[in-house]
Amino acid sequence: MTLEYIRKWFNRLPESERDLPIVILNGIAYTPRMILHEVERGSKIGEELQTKVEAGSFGTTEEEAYNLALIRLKEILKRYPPNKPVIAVLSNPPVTLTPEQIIEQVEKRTPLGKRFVEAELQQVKYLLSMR
Amino acid sequence: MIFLLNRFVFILPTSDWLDYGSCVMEDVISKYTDIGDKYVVLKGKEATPSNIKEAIDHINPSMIAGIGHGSPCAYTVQNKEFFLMYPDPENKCEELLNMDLVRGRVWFLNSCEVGKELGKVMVEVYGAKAFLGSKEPFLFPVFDKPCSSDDIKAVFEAEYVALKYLLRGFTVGEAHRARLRAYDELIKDYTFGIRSLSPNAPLVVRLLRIDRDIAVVYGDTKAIVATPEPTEKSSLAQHPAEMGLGIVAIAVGCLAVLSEALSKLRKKRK
Repeated sequence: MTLEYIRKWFNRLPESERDLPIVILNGIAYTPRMILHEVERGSKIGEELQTKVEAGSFGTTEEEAYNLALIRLKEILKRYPPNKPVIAVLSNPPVTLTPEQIIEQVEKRTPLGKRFVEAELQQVKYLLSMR
Repeated sequence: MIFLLNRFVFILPTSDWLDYGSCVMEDVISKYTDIGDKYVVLKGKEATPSNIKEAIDHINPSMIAGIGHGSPCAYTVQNKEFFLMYPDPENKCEELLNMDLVRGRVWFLNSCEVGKELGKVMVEVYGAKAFLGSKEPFLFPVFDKPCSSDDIKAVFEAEYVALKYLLRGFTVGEAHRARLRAYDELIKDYTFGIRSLSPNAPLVVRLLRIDRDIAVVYGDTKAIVATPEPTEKSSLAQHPAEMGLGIVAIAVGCLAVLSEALSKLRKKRK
């Protein structure tokens, strides 16, 4: 595969996803922009990152995947004012969640927190599968 | 028990954040109920258990559709009043409530966790024709006012595609599949399409993914609640005799609608 492949993949990604970590390599999280940069530089890491992108693989262990999802969710939720509800739940009793409370759910690995992690990893796979 | 098609009860409570979904469902209803012979919309403070019961008794609907806060064993309406419940002490449900009303009908309930147990019990024990809902907490964004933007409405728009399909005479199974497709299309649009330009796109797409994965259907997936829309094959224009009958039917239909509108107007004046 070529540099052109990574450029094309990067350009297809929405702006809002280009600076969110998407691949973990040797314990470091890389964003699409960082991956493009490394591949353009022709570095060894760039080569490894490119292989991961082409294989649609974002991490090696379950813990790495969880950490990737957590970092991404923190970045996404940082865009909202703190301590104000951003989502509500159709539960009885009704519940609303602020960005901090969503992150707490994820960190405590509650059933709802796990749902967020699952959705996040689905989205990562979806973005990596774009050709 | 015999039911007539094209008769619906819509439950649109607005308390405790429910207005976020109610306004979207109201919009769906306004566009699709022209095929309904009789329907009742109970909105806001009208969406009480006694009014819903009365409406069901009165028009004998083929489908009840609504939004509300829920749990694995209960569905609540305005001000969190319980409307449906079966005893399940583990989940804090103590009594049997209105389960005699579910038999033979299709239920579309946009409510948390009702698809975990309640929906199954409605179908398997109390004879509901079919049930569409969610098996886990249904999430929606509240960073803005209800129905104020596409981002705020997105998850409900996907969810209520099932309702649109049911009102157009598609089967329960087709409606469920259409709902899943609608989620997929919005996920795509919020990732790569025009909606990805919204600053809220990343959050909305995660909520769409969560709500899609928890959508469930139980019961008779071939059931319908409304007269199917004419297809090309069954079009009235195909046969002159049928065309004539069609015109008469439309004229009678128009008269009925006109007479209902006039009677409503008279009631208002009184």
